Amino acid sequence: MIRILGFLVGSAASIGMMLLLLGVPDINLSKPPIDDAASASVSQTIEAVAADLEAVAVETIEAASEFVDDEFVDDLPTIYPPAEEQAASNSEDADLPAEELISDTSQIASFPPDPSEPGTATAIDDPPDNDLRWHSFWNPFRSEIAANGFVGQLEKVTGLDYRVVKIKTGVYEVTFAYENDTERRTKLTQIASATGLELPES
Amino acid sequence: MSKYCFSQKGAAVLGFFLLTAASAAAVKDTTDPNMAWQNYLDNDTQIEPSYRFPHANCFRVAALTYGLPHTLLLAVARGESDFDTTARSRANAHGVMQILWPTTANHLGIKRLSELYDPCTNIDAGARYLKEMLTHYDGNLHLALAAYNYGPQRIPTNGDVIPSGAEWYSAYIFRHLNYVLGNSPGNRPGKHPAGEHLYSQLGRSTLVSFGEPYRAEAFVTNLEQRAPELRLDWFRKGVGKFAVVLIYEDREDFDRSAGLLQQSGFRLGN
Repeated sequence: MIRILGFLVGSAASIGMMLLLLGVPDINLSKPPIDDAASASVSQTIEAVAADLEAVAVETIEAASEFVDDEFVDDLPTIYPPAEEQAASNSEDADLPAEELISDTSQIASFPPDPSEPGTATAIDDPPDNDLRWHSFWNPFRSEIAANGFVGQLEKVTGLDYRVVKIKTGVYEVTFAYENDTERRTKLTQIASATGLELPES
Repeated sequence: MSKYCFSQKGAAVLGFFLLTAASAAAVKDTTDPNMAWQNYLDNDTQIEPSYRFPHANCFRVAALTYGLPHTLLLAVARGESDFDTTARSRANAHGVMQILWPTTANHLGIKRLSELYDPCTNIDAGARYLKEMLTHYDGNLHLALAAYNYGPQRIPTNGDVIPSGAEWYSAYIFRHLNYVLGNSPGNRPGKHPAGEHLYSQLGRSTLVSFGEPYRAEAFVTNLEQRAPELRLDWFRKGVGKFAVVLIYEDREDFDRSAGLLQQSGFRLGN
């Protein structure tokens, strides 16, 4: 027992001596070492490119302004507007109270459908046309695959465009766009005659 | 469903004679169901049905959704339940398309039994399952129908060995297809133009039930030979029960059919 204790104390003492003599290694995994010279070179390059771009942009605007009437010069686009300014200029409802904005957002979330849903018929690139209304003419489908299958065949036999609207999970409506009631009835008649479906108002 | 009734005793009068004939006839159908279905797919899928069948919109939407012939779905529904939304088999199959609960229903995304009693949901589920089978069997409708009835695990994709019951089922649905298309003896032209008459307004009276399908079929064949004007059909009613049914349009048609049955030796009960 005494021998074992002596061995352990001796080992600890020799390790301590080695650490004192050699020093504790500095281990830092959080940040990679940075070459100061390279960093300075990169930042200089970025500044130079930015200056060139600005100069080119100013020249382009000046050149363009020669061909534009003076009254439109003020409408020339700002090259890089600050984010806050951009958000404010894009929102016509910027002055509305916060509650109204939240309410509007919830309506947009439910209709038209969420473009992040895979396979929805809504084209993300198409801007919403505010003049169009959407008519759902059949019971909702339980699955999006079924709704899209229905739309695919309908488009084939009627030549009309349809959208699948996700009301909530497991409820998918098939709709078509219309501008007025006459067009809505015409399309219903078209669908009924092409498919044999008996639709009210067709 | 039936407005006017025959006594079940009536069947007994002709029972022995007709059953003997039925057994002898034993329905030796030489038609190859595989060829018959292929011929249908090639030529007849665009034919409009002979009646306005119940839940017509649900069938049309399901047919469009899964790219299946409308008349095929009608034939399956007529054979499975005769369009009865409350139909339930001893095997625990439910509704118009007789979807098996819970296995097949769950597989098709139906979580509650009550949903199977909604006709559109049930028809959609049946159409989806049939489409699944059709894809699995590479467009072979005969095998797809056999699997619809027996389950895909019991029908090999190469169709080498098909249980006789599954083979029978395919032919059974084909017979109903002929009715839907207006080609069967039991669907001779009525007073209304084809496709405009409501199927649900037809009256039905069960004449007799059998434990074996070939007996019911032979019974119908025999009676039809004696009185071709009769509108007869037979349906699977649950497991192991096959009902022979007289179909008629109204009271006048019923009385006329009753007379024809009596002339053929089928005595009606009181």
